[in-house]
Amino acid sequence: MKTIDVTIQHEGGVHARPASIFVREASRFKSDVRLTAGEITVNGKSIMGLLMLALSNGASVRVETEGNDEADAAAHLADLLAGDFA
Amino acid sequence: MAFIKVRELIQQYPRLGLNLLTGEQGLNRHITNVDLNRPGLALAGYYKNYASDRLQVFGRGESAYLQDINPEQKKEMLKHFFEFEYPALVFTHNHVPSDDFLSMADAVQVPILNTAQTTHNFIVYYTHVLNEVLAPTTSIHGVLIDVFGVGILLMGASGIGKSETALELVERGHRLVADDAVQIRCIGDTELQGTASEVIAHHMELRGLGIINVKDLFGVGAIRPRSRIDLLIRLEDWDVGREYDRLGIQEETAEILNVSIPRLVLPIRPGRNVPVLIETAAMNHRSKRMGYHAARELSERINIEIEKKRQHQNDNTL
Repeated sequence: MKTIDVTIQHEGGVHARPASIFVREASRFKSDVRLTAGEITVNGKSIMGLLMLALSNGASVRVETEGNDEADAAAHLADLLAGDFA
Repeated sequence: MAFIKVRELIQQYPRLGLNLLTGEQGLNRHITNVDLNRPGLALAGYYKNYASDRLQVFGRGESAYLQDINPEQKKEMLKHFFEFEYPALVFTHNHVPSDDFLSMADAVQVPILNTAQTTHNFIVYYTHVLNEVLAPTTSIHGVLIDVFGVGILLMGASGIGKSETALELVERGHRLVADDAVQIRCIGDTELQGTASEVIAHHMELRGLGIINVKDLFGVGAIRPRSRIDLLIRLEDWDVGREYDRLGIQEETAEILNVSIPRLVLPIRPGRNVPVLIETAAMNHRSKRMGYHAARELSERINIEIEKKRQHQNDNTL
């Protein structure tokens, strides 16, 4: 299992559009992806889960991946969350 | 650790009928325990194993004692009593303690509350509320639907078809409780209750369609705010190598928050009518709960049949 802690640096936080981009990227990997913010953990491949977290700009979130491609998944998704969701 | 603030207890549960008499600086204190304590022993001077971290309830007996003891003794006793950190003290039967009691409490910022409830009723309501508030919770990726009154938690990998199956069940008249992120709490150590997070309640994600609002599209009859979780059904891609239960005599269970619930595994294959299988599983579950277990009864009848044939064979060979 790989774990990376990230801080969101995107104005408007992780609203609908960045959430759908994240979920699309997460679903490309075979590993299970979990995101934890505060006390809540959600499935990273589920857009509803991500929206429920309602991550704002500056919020911290933990990315956990588990599976064959866990290292790639964690690195790629952590970069995405910390960046611009281009 | 789960807790509720004294302030929240007063404001969010009017059924308890709590009024603040003094000590409002202590309103943010945490209550972390379902248990209460009646401080009779402490008032009499015995403090061994004293549960001062619990809410203290002063019933008629305790209040009478405070009124009857002589002032000198009372002063000493209260001094010792208020050396402890209490979340709050509650007086039942609308009793208001004396001014010296109130000012000592105020000095150490312990909230003093009273209620018109009888001691018994207050304790019953309070226990009920705290059981709910302090219940262990978790969040699970799955879909919770009420099918024929049976709370079914559908689980499985992303993309296997949980939401689509739930949608078909909604069309057939069943009720969606939560899609995707099911909030579960364990009530009283034996029951699991599931609900949706308020933020996304009634919404469902369907690949290709995006996010829909089930309540708007299908109506209030298609949703349910919360449901007990009675049965767990796991959807899996049909694995040719795996052994699936052909009999259904042994009940498999899964554990969530230390509660065991019955579990079924449904292999998915194109052409398999999953919603009908789930409806049937729900009805079968109800049947079992009513005492009729089809697989076991059939097994018994087969045993009897085998025994009959064996007897018949014996008779023939004689």
